[in-house]
Amino acid sequence: MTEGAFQTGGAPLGDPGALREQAVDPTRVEKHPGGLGRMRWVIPGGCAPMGSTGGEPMFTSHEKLCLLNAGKRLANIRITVFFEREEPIGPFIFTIGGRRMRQVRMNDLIHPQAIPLDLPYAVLVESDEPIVAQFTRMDTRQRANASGGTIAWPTTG
Amino acid sequence: MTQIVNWSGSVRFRPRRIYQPSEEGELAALVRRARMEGRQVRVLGSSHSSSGILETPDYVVTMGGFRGMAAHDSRAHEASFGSGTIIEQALSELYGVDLAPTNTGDVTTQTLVGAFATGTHGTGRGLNVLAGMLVGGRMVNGEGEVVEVSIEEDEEFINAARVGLGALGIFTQVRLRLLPGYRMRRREYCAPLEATMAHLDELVAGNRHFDFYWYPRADVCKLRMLDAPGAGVKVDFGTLVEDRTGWAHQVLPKHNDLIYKYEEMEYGMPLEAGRECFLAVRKRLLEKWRAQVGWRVLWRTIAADNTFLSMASGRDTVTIALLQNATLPHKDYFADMEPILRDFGGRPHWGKKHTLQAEALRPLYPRWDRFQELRRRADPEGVFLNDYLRGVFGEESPGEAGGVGR
Repeated sequence: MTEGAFQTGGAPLGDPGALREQAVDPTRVEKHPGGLGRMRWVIPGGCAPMGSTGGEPMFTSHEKLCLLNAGKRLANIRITVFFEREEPIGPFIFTIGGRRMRQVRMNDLIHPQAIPLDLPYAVLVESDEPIVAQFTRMDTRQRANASGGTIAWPTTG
Repeated sequence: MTQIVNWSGSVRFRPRRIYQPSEEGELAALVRRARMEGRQVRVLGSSHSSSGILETPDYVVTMGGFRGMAAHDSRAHEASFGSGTIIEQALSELYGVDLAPTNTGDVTTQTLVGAFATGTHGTGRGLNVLAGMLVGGRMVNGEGEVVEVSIEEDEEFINAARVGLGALGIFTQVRLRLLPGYRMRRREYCAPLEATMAHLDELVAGNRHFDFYWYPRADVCKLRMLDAPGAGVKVDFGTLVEDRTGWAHQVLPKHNDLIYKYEEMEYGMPLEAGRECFLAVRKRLLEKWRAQVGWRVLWRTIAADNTFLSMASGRDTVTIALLQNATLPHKDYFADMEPILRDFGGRPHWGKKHTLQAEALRPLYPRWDRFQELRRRADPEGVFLNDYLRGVFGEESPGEAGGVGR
């Protein structure tokens, strides 16, 4: 893991504050009936750069949430975004069909509210089916030092 | 006193009283009473406007008692509606008698006359603002008289009243010139900006309806085209994301289900300036506002008309709309972008945010002064003038020397 992502147990959807009590070993892999992964994910280290270099949208600096629903049932996803000073925004709502994946650029989300660039944020992902979450960052502010980063799904296989 | 809040939430006011008359005589009596009392009367449609055009401390009238189709003539392609009819309802009723509008906007939750009065439009190189369909009707003027108006008897007045900002009178019924029912195909593509700009003239000329959204966070476009099935420009530089065919009322509206609200500023500039203005807007937005603004920019076209206060009065027009989440600050963003839109000869949408007053507006419209003459004739006491309209028309407030008398 390159940054501080962690998964939480299969607790019911609800108060984000309950996360404090439910953090689990991020390296543990667990198969749920009908799907792979967990129902709640947190990425606390978000911050999409404002500047970009190169052709867009290919080289637009961005952060991307990559979600896999390996199970058979449709997953209803709700994303809440947290900030240092402002109130959280969300839920950003979408679905992922059974045995399908979806990649969402955080920069592009506008409903219910656009996420400011150059501002640290954290992401809470809640699903009603087990899913696997991955978070990637592309930073092209400096052409020579353009970088990409990925928070990987831990596996023991 | 009941508080009225517009759709986006940025306009709030408490009128002295809200009336919903059910017949013309009742409405006329209210206008006469307001005139005697020295009070204002403003009509509230669907509260979709976010300029000050709605606001009044006095009497608000809603036209819910004047809804639905009153008559139609399928051979002449005309129909009359109560002025408070919601556009969506009108489209449905027109379909039932095999008629259809020449155009609509994306949203059809406004009232017919609310959309007309504010110059609301759709898109299309050969298509006028929605009020272009208005050819007659009945209205209560500022003296509390019920009058019948028609393009056959007084074309000039109709050209003033089509986009009248609710300042010439209160329509109770409108007669529309329409088209026989028709089917359309809606195609939408995601496309790179450069390719969109390279094909822009072809897309505008070759589709009955064409517009595009530009997304500032990704610098890409969504092209939207509506044409008769089988017609329209072939697109080989984008990804097709929507393709459906249906009757006009089924495919013209697009965003009636929006649950997330936004603030909007829109200006219309000469067609030939539309590309350059958009590129200037894009440049500024990328440089200064990208961190705070994720909402799209909408680029559309309107055909030139003779309507006095239409954005397209006397010139083929491109409109550029800036949108921002209603939950985020919009004032600084719009204030920074407005001068760019004005630099290209822009005229504001009357139902959206702008800051222009009479001295800036007057040079923009070839028939501005004639509109003011007709307005003063129809409403000599200024019953329909609120603070917003006094600023827009350059009328001093009641009691000030030279103002419209009270």
